Amino acid sequence: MSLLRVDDLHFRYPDGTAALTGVTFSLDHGDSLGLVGRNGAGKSTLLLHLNGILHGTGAVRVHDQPVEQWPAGELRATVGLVFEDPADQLFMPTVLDDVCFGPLNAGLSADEARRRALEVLHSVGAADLADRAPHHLSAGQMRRVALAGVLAMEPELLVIDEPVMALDPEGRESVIELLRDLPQAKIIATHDLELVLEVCNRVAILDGGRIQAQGPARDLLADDTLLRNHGLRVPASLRFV
Amino acid sequence: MLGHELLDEWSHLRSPLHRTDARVKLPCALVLVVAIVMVPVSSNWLLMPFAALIFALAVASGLPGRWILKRLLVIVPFLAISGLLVALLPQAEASAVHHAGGVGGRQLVRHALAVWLSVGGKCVLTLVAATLLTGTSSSADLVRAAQALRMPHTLTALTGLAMTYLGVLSDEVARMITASRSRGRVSGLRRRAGVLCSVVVTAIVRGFERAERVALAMVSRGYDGRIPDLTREPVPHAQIAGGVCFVICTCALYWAGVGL
Repeated sequence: MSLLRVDDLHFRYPDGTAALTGVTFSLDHGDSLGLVGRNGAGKSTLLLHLNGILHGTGAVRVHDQPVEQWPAGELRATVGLVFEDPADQLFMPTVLDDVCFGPLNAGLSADEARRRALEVLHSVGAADLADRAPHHLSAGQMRRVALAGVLAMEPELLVIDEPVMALDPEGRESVIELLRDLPQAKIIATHDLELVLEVCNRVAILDGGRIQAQGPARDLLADDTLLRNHGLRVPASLRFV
Repeated sequence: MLGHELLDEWSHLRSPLHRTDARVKLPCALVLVVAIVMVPVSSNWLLMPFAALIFALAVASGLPGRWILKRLLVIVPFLAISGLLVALLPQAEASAVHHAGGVGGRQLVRHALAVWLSVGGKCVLTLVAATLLTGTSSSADLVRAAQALRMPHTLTALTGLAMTYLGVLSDEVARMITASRSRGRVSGLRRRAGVLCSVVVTAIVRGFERAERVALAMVSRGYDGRIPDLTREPVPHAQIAGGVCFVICTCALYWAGVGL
């Protein structure tokens, strides 16, 4: 039984723009899928379907159950979504409040939510930020806290949109290490193909609202012609091997 | 990070007022403000002891006097315009008195002056009280205090989001202004106004877009229309007792003054 299965998913925005045109893929426990593609390929739109925020035509199944049939709270605890801009996700007055937000919504007691939040903050190396206001943090710290906010819900599948965008090399490296160590299944939408190589075992190329190719990360990301056809380039670490 | 720094500029100090829990300070400030606002015009002198009380609190807070005075600038236009109207009243009154046979003109001016002093004094004192509250508490603590005091969820949620994103939006506006300046100096008042308008409109549109994204982020973590309250440690009994004493003293001062 797949953890996630997407079949022939179509989605059109209210202005008529076709964002997804028949997306099909699946993900098993322990998989890490890099979702790559040019700007406007539909990556972020696809991610919003995976925990039931957007609903297109076709099927999105988690544990073989269509997302429409999941209780919203349970689905969002199972599929954790980390947004592209962490400032959008950090809306509570302090870091601790923000990380507790999901667990409290899931019905945990305040003590249990606080305990879990502190544990997760510790695991992402942000325990010392608990009492800080989220918008006083650096970009790298915001990323860690945004990730902690989702990890505190103990999701089985982590869906992450552009996790290292606008980070300095050190911040980027620490986020990559963090992602690599997370045991959950992951879908990472990004332009950073080096990150995909380091974190993901599989890759899917999305272009024109459709999965154009998918397979083992090292094989697909070494295919110069394929990548160029879809607005991508072979990452430097494979180019000079 | 301009906007964020402005919000909690002095909340890191360690004065007695800073150390007092926001859940105590918020109701005390509300009672003080209501008592000041309710002082009748005929008891204007009562504003003096309230002013002395607020002055003592301001000294105890350790907040810079200049910073507090800068916060008062916001009411200067209001006081100036209303003061101007009071100053012009004798001329208007002279013609009215001429037509009405000269009865009650001077009393009218005196009453207008008393009302102006009353409203002006209340504005200044309540504004200083609010400044002391916000200057000695972090915005996060104030929102949590409002939640703990069972203020309406919608109100506290909106206040919390506004405090969080006010800084983000003001930073965005500052960046847009810097970006527009970096592409050359705009000459002419009309063109400058045009640029400023487009910056503001862009900021509003981006604000809406950000609001949509924030809403999605909230929904994706199980938001069901209610911001969960993370209960903190209880307020120390000594602070509760201090707060109750403050409220009693404020009410006693008010009733003693009004009753005289």
